Amino acid sequence: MADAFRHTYIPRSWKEIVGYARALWAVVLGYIPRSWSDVVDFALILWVIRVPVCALAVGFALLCLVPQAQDLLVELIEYSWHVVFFLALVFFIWASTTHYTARLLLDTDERFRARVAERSSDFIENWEIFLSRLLGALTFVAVLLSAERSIENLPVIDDPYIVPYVSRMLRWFQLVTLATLGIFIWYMLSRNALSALQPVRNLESKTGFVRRFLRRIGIEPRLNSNNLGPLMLFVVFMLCAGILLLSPVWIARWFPRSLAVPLLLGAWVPFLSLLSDMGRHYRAPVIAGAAVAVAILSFLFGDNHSVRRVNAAQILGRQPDSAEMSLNRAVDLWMSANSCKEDPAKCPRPIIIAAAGGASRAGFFTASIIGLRKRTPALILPR
Amino acid sequence: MTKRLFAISGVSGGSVGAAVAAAAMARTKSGEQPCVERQPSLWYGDTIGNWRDCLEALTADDFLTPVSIGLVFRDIVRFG
Repeated sequence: MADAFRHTYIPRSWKEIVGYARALWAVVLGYIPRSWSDVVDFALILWVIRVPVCALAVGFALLCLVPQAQDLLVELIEYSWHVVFFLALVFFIWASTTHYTARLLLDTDERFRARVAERSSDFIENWEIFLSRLLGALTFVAVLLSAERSIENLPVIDDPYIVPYVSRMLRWFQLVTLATLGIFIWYMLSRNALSALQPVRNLESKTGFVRRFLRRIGIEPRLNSNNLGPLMLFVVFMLCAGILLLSPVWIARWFPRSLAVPLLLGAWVPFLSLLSDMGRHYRAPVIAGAAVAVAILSFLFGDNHSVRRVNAAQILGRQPDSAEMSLNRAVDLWMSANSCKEDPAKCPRPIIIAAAGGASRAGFFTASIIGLRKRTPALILPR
Repeated sequence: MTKRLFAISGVSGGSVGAAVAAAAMARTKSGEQPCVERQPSLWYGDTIGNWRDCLEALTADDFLTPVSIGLVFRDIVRFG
C-alpha cells in the first residue's frame, strides 16, 4: 500500500480514493510511535544530532523572541542583493550544514547504526531520514516567522506611506524565502540524483581529498558516497576558523547586521558536530571536555581581550587631576565661564541634561537632543 | 549653549551619547561641528551640516555586529 502511495496517480473511483487514503495512513503510521521502544529510538536520534538541533533551537529563540533580531530584516529588504546574499547564507551556512551534519552524524554513528539494524522498524528508519530534512527546512521557517514578527513590530507613525511600504516589502521577502525553502526541499530530495550528473561527478573526482581526510579522522560517510557534502562542511569549518583568526570588526564590515546571523548560527555546527561524533565514538563528553580545556588554556596563557589602557599622564604631560570636584567648585567654574560670578543674579539658567539607558538607541537620542540644542540655541529657555 | 551647560548625567546607552557629545564638543575650539565624514553609511541623512547631524552620525554606527561576532567566535576561543 505504501509503495502504491509513492507512485503519483489520479484516483478515478471511490475505491481508488479509499485505497489512496489507506496508503497515506500507512505512511503516516510509520512516523507515529507505537511503543516505548519507538520513543527511545526517537530520543536517541535527537541525542545523536543534538548539535544541529541545539543550533536550530538557538536560531528559533533569536529570530522569533528577540525584537532587535527581527527588526534587522526591515533594513535588509532595502536592497535586493542583500536579500539574495542573506538567503544564500541561510541556505549554505545554516540550513545545508544543519541538514547535512544531522545526516552525516546518523550515517556514521556505529551504535546508532547497530540500533537501527537491531530494531529493523519503519519508525526509526523513517525518522532518521525525515528529521534531518525537517531540521534543514525549519531554518527557513525561523526566518519566515521572524519576518512575520518584524511586520508586527512596525511602529504606528504619522507617515501614511512608509509603514505599509515596509510591510509590503517584508511580505515579498517572505515569498522569496518560501521560494528558497522550496528550492532547498527540492535539493534535499534530489541530492542523490544531482550527484549522478556529469558536472557534479567531475567535481567529485577532484575533491577526493575530502573523503581521505574524513577517513583519516574516522568519520567517513557510510551510506552516501559523494564528497561534495563533506566538502561543504569543511568549507564552513574553515570559514569558522577564519573568523576566529580575523578581527570581528573586519568580519562585521563584510557581514553587517542581518548578514551575520546565519554565520553566528551555522558556522560552529560542523566543528561541534565533529566533537559530538567523537564523544559518541569514544563514549566521553568531548564537547564539555573541550569547553573545560579552553577555560584551562585561557587561565594558563591569558585571553586575547584587547583592553586599551591610556597613559593619561603621558598624554597630558602632567599627573591628571583625578580628585572628585565639589559641587561648589563646579558652580564657581560654571559662573566664571558665564561671566556672572560677581553678580550671580545675572547668571543664565543652567542646562542640566539627564539621559536614560536603552543601549545604542539611548546613545543616539541623547546625542541628537544635545546636537539639536547646539544647533538651535533659541530652543533653550531664556534666563 | 556649551557655556550654559552645567552637567550631563547618564546611564548605560544615555551615558554613551553624553560621552560622544562631550568628546565632540571638546574636539572643537571654534564652535563648528567637528565631523568630516560627508556620507555616513548608516545615518538617515545625506550630508552633515550641523551639530545635530554630526552627533547623530557619530552614534548611528553599527555597534552590535562586531560585538556579537566577537562574543560567538573570539571570546569562546580566547587564549593566546
